[in-house]
Amino acid sequence: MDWARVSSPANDSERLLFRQLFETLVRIDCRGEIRPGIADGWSSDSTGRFWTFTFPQPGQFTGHPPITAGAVASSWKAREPGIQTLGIDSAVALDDRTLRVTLRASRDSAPRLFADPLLSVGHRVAVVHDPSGRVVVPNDPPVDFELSPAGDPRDALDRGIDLVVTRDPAVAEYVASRPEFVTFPLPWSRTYALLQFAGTQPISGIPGTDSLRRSLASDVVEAEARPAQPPFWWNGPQSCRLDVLMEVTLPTSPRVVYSRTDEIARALAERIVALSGNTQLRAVGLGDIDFATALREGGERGYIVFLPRNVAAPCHASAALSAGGWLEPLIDTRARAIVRRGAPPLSIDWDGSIKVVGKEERSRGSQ
Amino acid sequence: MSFRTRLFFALVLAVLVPLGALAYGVRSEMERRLTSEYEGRIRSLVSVIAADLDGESRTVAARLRALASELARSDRFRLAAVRSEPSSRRYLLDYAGNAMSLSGLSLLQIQDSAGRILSSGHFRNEFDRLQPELPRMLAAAGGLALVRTRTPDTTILALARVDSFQVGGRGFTVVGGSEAEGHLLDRLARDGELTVALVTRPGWRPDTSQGARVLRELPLPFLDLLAQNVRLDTARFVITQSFGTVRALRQSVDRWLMIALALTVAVALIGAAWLSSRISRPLRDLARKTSEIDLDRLDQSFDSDRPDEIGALSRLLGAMTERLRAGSARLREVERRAAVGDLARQVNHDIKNGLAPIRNVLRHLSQVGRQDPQLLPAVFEDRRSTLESSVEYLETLARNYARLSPGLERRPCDLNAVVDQILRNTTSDGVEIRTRLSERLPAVLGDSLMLRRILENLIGNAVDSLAGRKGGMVTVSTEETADSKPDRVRITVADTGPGMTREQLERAFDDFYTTKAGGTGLGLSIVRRLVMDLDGVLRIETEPGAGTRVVLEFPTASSPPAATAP
Repeated sequence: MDWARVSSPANDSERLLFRQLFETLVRIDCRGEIRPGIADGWSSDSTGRFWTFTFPQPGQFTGHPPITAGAVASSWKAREPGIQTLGIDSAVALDDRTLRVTLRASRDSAPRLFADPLLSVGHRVAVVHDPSGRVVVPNDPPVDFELSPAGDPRDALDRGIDLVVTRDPAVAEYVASRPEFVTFPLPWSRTYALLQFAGTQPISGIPGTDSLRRSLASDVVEAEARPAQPPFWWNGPQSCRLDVLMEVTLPTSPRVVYSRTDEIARALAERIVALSGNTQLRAVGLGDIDFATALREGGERGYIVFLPRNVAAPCHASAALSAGGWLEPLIDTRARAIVRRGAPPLSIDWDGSIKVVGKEERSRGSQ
Repeated sequence: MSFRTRLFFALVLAVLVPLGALAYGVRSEMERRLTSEYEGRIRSLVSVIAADLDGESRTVAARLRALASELARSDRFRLAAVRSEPSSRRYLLDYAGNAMSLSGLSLLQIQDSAGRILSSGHFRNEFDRLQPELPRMLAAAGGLALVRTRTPDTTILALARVDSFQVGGRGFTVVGGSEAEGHLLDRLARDGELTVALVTRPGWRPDTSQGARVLRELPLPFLDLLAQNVRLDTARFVITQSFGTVRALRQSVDRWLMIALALTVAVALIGAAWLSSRISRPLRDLARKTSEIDLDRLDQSFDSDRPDEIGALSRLLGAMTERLRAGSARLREVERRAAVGDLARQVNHDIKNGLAPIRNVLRHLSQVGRQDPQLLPAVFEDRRSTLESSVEYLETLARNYARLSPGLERRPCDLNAVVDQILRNTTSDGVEIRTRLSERLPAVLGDSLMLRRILENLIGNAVDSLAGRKGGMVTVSTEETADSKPDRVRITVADTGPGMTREQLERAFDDFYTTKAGGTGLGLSIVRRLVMDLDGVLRIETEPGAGTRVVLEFPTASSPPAATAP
């Protein structure tokens, strides 16, 4: 299992699927408040280093077996190096319902830290139907996914799908006059930014002004967008950033590159190229692998990247950013959830992820 | 140089010169016509290309006109561009891209009167940028120019035109074009032999090192929006022709002409060789026959039924040979009569010599019988030996003369067998006799007794010439002559004796001429006569101190019978 992928889903489909399959000790709702997750209670000592989580009574709910404290400790133990980057020293199951977590140091972010997807624990196994791409999650009721990001979401809605998560305004426009659907915006989940590495000549004509960001949000991208709004978690205390310097090549290519599958990034890159006044500068879309390689090598004039708008552990997330570069935030975007009336209830977290609430969660009143 | 060689070269030249001239003429005419027709076709294609280019320009202009008319009527455009209605702004920004796709253009830009880009189809997000030079310079260029501009990820060259329209009292320009590289160039160069290149750099010339030729250049105003200082320049559509097909055709024609010429030369050489040989053969035959004519060989036939000069020459030579034959016969008759006269005198002399002792003895016996008859027996006895010696001499003389008139009986004879028989009965007296007899010797048409007499005389003479000489050797060889017509057999009797002087050789065939003690002087005379009777040839090769070779040639039994010499 690639837990880094769980922590940073590549697209909205993955985010939606992973949210059904994995759970954290606590979760942060769309208003930013901490809610029970696997654990239904938590406390810490006076130092803030030692945290105790209590789990619900076993047998209280029907369906699949409940997650025990021992299962969480074992799962974390199996991926210890990744877990330790979050500052967690150890996790010990005192019994099936009690987990003792020791931090290396007191963290301001706790207990929000424990909502980081990297600390997820899987307790459901999805059934993948090849080659249709259908994924069935054994929830109560079961959740049936169609992972077809290239398809037209309107087709899916017409086929009877209960939930569609999309960033395409045309889809929301399509269902606006249809009473069987309810549309609501999800939290701002992505911030698009221009990344340039040290040694790169700044692209002229790109002042970090609100007017530019407004123009980008309103005229350039085909998505629900707004000018990128501070604060930005990657501009937090420098002390939490790891001193890892990347060896980057000085840019030789007059290109602003973006992921070819990302239309928002394409539009932003083209606008930056148009405003630069440099007739040699080009906006070039790369495949996912080539884009990741280009990002690692740092040989381009600029990169259009997106970052999660909110992270549970900013220090940990900052450490994962490419060192040696600076980010010029451009716009924030969010997706919309289109839900068929009468569908099972949903819970929405602060990172924009949606979870279908099963009977057991409803009975726990966790919504 | 022989007549045959001269004839050969004459025939070759007679064929090749006109043929070469024909080939050269055909090739030149073909090339002229091919080039003429090809260039005519190319001129037509160039005209079509120019018309296509003009048609493309007119198509762009028509599409721009339609777009301008539609924009002038569009309420949403009016709201967005004139009234700056925020809700219609995205419509305006997306308009050029949508219109460009629908109209099939590669470049489309809408500007306001200040040169601000309101909507751009090929570069959607370059809106609000100022680019007033594009419509201004296009208008200065007459409304049509080649424009190099950029898209987000590349640059394009477009055949662009400009149009304008009014909405709400404000002026707008619309610039549109079709891509000038790639598809358009391919479409223009519809013939594989033509290449249409778009040249934007001044002074650039296409590569003509491979035989390509620039047919025509179509100049066009050029606007490079990527340059530091945008100015109106000149670009060219350069149409080049590769000549590949014509060159291949010429090479093919040349190749086939060369093949045909080579075949003709080969046929001409063979034909000339055959013809020259055929023409010169009668002359060579005449020369050979003529070379074989001498007084002993007047049996050559020059009969010919050819109506041409060679036939006439052959008949003249036949007549000449006939006259020679008659002259030879007369000469032989004179010789014969002289010989008979000589012989008669010799016989007279010899008989007289033989009879003189007899007459003397008879006179003596008559005298004794008259004077003293009782002494007659004693005297007879005393003179008897003289009588017997004289009689024997006369008998020998008679036998020798009898040899001068042999009978002739022709039939196939094995010459090697005759040689063997002679050598078995020959007393060599210490002289080594060697033979080199051909195993495949044809039978000779002759008389074996005469052949024996000939060879006995020659071998005997050769052995006698070596009498008293140590280490002497006689060689008898037979062979078939390789170059004679009709077929003949050659027999050679060679000795290592003292040879003959020129004077001796000239008299060697004279009757009664001899250099041997006790010789009759009739041997070689008889041999010569017998050889002539057998239609043979006799030749003596000799030199004092170097021995003598007597070479005889006789016709084989398969040879046609020779005309009998008179």
